[in-house]
Amino acid sequence: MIATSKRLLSFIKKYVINVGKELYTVYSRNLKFKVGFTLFIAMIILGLFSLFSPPWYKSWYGIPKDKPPSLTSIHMLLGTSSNGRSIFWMITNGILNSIVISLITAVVASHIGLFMGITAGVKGGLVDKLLMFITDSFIVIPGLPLLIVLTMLFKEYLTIPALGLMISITSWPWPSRQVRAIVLSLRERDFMVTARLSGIGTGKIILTEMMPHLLGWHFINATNTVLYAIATEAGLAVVGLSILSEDTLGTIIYWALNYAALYRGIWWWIVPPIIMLVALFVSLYLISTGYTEYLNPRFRRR
Amino acid sequence: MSDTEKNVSLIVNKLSGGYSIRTFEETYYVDAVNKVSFYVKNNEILGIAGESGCGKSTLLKLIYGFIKYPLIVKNGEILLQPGKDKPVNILSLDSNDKRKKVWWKLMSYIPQNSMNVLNPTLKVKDHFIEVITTHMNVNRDVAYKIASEHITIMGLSKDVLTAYPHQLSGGMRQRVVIALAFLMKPRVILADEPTTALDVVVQRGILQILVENQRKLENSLIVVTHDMGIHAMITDRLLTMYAGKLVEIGNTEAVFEDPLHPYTKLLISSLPRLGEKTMRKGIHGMPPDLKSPPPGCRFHPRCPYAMEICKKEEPPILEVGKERFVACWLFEKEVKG
Amino acid sequence: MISRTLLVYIAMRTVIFFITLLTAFTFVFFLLKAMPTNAVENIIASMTAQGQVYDPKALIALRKSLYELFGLTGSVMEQYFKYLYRFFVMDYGPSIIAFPTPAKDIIMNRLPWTIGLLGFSTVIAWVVGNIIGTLTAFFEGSRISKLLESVAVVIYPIPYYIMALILVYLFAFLIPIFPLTGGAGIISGQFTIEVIVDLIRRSMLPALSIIITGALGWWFLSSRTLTINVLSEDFSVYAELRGLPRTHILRKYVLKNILLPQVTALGLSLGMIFSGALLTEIIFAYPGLGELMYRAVSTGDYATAIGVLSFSILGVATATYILDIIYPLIDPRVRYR
Repeated sequence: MIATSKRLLSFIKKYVINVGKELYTVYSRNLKFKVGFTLFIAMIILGLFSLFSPPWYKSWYGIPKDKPPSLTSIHMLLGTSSNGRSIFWMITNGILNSIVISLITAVVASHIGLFMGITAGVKGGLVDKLLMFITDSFIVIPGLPLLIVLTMLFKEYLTIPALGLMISITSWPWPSRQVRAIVLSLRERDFMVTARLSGIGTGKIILTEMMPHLLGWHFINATNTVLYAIATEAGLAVVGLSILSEDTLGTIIYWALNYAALYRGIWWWIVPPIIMLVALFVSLYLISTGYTEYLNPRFRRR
Repeated sequence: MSDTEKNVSLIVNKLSGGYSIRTFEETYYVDAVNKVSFYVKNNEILGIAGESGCGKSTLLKLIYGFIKYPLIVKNGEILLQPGKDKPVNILSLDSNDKRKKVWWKLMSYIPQNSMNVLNPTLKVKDHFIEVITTHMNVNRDVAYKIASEHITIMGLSKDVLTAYPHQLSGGMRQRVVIALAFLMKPRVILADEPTTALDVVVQRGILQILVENQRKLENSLIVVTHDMGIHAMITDRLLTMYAGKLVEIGNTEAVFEDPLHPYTKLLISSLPRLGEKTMRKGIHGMPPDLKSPPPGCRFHPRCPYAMEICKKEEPPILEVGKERFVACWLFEKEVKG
Repeated sequence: MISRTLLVYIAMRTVIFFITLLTAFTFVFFLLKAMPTNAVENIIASMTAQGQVYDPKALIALRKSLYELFGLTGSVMEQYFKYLYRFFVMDYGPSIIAFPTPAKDIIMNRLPWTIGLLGFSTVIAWVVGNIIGTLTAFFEGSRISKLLESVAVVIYPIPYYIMALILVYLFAFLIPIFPLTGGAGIISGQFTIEVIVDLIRRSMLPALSIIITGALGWWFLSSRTLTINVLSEDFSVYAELRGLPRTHILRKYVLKNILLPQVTALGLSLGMIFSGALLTEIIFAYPGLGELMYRAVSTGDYATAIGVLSFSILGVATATYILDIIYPLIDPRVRYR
């Protein structure tokens, strides 16, 4: 027992160190990744501020409403909303919640995609055709309308994890196709044929030969899914279909629109969430593109 | 001008060029072509032989004047003698001049990998028409007539013109590319590995087209290939290169009969001959790293006859017979005159 | 041209089209099945609870359609087939927001608005995006090109509805050029000049949000990448070697080779119209399908919401289908097999 847990520990340590080294290499070599990664970390730190939220921050009309930003106290940093809440705490919680929801989606969807892609690509034949047919049929269903109907139906059951899972229903087909494409192109490469001919079993081949390549793409898929999920959740929230009792960047915008903040001049309510969303999108996109450039020298700028 | 010079179509003078590479870690220069000098005569086929990476393809690009990053020219001149006009130094021209005056009209190029150089969305005839309308002031119909006449002269069927590249076999596409090269009747044609990736039977056909049309046009054809068999078959004179340096040049028959430079000797002895039953010998060692080539003669680490001087000083190009040149210290004493 | 293989291909694609629709609708069926039975009753109860009097026949029809949409009547097989029938025939029963008008009618009413705005904006975005993307790649290295690329990197990840909010803030509030909401009151059907001008004014912002995010986002980036790829292909280099002018290469080499994938992508994104600018319409209160969906959602009108959903599925599947059929007709590589 102790031996296996020790091995597990050292495996995890090695894994983390390798990931860290990889991130450091990409970071130092690619400007896009550097900027994106830094920005994203900055956003997370901002989000972590939410851990210090005062216990009353969720209650309405707790503090005077519609007050513009001032430096009097940390609660007033971004002013207050029309329902008497501190926008600063709303934003910090919103960032964290949006990221959490999309991380859940990304983890679920990209792994489903990884599994389906590998199975389809490696097995080929009937299994491949079947899996791809299912995937293609799902791709045909437009994501946003489907999610709108779903959130409409399950309004009472919406919690943060549930929402994350729901969004992953529409985001798994894309990574699945991507992974399959990569697996197919890897399959025909020389080192794969050599491995197969030398008698190594399929499972081991997948783990040792394919995984290093796949993990890079897996990361990219996951990053893109996070981006897609944040955008989708925000989209749903803006029309009132997210978890309106929680703060996500999208719900903040919803409430702001609901109170016609824009037209009443309460810009400090609606502008910060938009800026935060744009920052998240741009940073995630830069991370994704930067890493793609790093992986495939053909895309590097001259 | 000497007798030889009057008869010459291209002169390369101490040409040096290579690749300037910038990576994340460093910036370095790959010395691909170093102080190469030779001439090409009218109505002859000159072969350039050597291992992969010896600089033959780079040499061709330089001669053509196709200098694109990371390729740079360090030194030298390339004189094209367009008949009775003044010679033109290719390296001194700007891109517009090259494009309008030299490319395809005075000099044409058959690239490596020519099976993939045709535009998949254009029919073969359009490839011809676009060249003709660019370089001659005619309309499309006239251009088409010119193209079909030319195709027939080259020995190809007119049906080829109406096809898309992917409908033709590799060998057929190669023939189209050769036909394009002869289209404007240039004085010099540069062919880079015209037969690689083709099977021997098709190869023969390709070489036939090349040679027949060169004889008809009486221009200069430079054929770059590592295949010594092809040199033996079609070239009039042969030039061997090693690690970016010209190593030997002379009449093909003479070079094959009696190769002078140790490298040429090894190259030719690696070819099987009728009746010989001994084992073929390869050349041991590896070509040098052109980032930092060895001092002195670049072949000395692999040369069975290497002397002390070879390690320190570069051998000059020595004239050892009629139109016979070797860059090797072994022949210092045999220099003519 | 119309060969047997082509006919077989079309037949196969048609079959796959229907099967894909079937599968997609089936998925939705299973997702809808999760709805608890009494929810339907709740909906009807909440309608009548507001004290309004409804035609009892219509209410019965509503109950029936809702039950069938959610697959709650009869055995499992019956449920499935009744549901499927409704989806294929597009009979979603009466809507609730405009009871007792059938949901289908309302959807049909709104369809031209969405297609008009989104179709138009998408095409404009495609054209503009491709033009600047291609030119940027063609003139790679210039300052404008670097600037545009940085701009695109920021704009691309921004979803169009965020762009919509930004535009609303800037141009409807800060600098009040455009009206804040659009399209209301035009459903009267008259087409006087005033109405048309008003229509244009009101659709400008929604159209702009789609055009800006599209042209400076995806279409710019994709056409730029495609152009760079094409320019580095062997056939583009060969065109340059032959002295063909840059403009010619742009037209016959770059454009011809990127148009194919880009037209395909355009087709796909036109198919995505239905899920596309859903939110833009909502933000601008534009009377299209998206706004309808929103209204249906807020009033708990499941029939209409499901109707819009299945319409979107139909739209995307049809667009993909049409594209698949057209593709071999445009790509010579696929046409002549």
